Amino acid sequence: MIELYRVCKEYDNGQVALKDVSLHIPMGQMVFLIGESGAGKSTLLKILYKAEQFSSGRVLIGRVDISRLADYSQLRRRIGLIFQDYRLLNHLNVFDNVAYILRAQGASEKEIRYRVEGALNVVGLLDRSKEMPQHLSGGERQRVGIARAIVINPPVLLADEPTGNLDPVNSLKIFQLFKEINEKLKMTMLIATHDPRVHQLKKRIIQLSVADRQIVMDTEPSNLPMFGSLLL
Amino acid sequence: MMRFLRMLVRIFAEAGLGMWRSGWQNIVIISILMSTLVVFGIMLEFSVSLKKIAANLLGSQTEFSIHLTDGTDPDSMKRKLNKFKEVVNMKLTTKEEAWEQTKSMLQIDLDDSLNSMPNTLTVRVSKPQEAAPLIYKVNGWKKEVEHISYAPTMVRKLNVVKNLLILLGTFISGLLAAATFVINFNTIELVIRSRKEELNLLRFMGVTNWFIKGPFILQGILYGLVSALVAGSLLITIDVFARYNWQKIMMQQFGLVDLFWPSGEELTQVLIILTIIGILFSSSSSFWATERRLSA
Repeated sequence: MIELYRVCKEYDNGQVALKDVSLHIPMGQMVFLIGESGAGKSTLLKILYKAEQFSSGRVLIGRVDISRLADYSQLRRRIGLIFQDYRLLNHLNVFDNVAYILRAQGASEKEIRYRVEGALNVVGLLDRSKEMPQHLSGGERQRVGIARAIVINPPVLLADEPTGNLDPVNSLKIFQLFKEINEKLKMTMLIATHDPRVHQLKKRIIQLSVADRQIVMDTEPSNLPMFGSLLL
Repeated sequence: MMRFLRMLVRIFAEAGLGMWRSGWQNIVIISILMSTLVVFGIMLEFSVSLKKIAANLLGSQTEFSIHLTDGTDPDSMKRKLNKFKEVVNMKLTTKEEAWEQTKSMLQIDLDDSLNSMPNTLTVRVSKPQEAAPLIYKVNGWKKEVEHISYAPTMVRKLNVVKNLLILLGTFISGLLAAATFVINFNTIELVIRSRKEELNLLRFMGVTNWFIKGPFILQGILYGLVSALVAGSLLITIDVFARYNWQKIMMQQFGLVDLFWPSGEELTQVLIILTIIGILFSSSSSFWATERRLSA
């Protein structure tokens, strides 16, 4: 569960990134966060994983007020992160990239093998576990990124423009993969994107406005406007 | 416990990987740190030797040597000295005996016509406080006495030499140490900067701070350890090859043999000190770099 109460983010130079943003995402829900560039999508995600501090308001993840946390690593171990530029470790192969966080947590090799193979199986890359990231296509790299995020079985998954570097076909496959993961693993997901085709997935969509830096639309699947389908 | 041990092993592995990724910079750091430790080690060895010499000479405060002028009859000098009740013993080393000793020590065959050694009388008094007044009196016999060697005078000279060596060694070590600190600090900082994105990613993945910092500090410890091992090997090599020549110098200058070369035990102590200093030094610069770049 993710909750934001009147969250504001203002930079030192006075620029406002978010203004009075409030939202509630129940456990296990998949939500797309859309909006133009500069609307504050990434800022909102960064606030959730504590890469940025908010100026005022309150943020709760799983009923924990994150502004009161002294050790961010505990919070971050409960969040899976997916980035637009994949951010894979190029000196490690696919398996080791996914296994890295488990090794850092002191998991046994048996446990690592079981969990990494499970995660790679979910994203369909089990047969490519020995490949180096630079030998993979963009779509495959993002799948590795997703496997790395889900391998710790986090209750929350945040993705910042996960298809920003992908072609339309691969983008759709990645969105489909997110949907499958959400249905199988019941993770709460917040995915920032500016891809209008997310309407096709019939999931909740929250739109941030670049003009107001506020939520201007919050639509449940049943209330999705028709234009989303028309765009496909 | 097992989880902790596994993490420790993985931190070691990360440190090894970090060193591998640092490439040629490892060689620069290790070379400079090793040079620092070698200079420091030589300084320590000298200090140990000079301390032992001084201690030995101070133990001979009741004894002094009178080098006689050419033409002085040693027997008449003995008779003259025997009149002083504080003299308990006298030993004559003739110029021929001194010449033979020198040739034997240097292992060279010199012509006897080159012998410029004086006849020497080694005088022992019953109490240390009796030595100085007697030396003062004997020193007045300008015709018979060329020079008097007395331990406290030599100790003072040795202390001056020792202090100069320590000062010089400290200065050189200080310069090298500062260079090592800066280079090690900069290398670790450069590695951290070049891997900033990666390290941020690890943070965002919830990797604990000490798992991120640990490998860099360990890398510093490994630099110190490797440098100390190389420096130690070099010192042992110097020790083995230079011992013979060193002994000759000691014999020539102070008439002392074997006793004053650092023993195996003392050399081990020097090596342990070097290892500790090397590790402390490089790990502290790494720690500082990580604190500066990775604290958030």
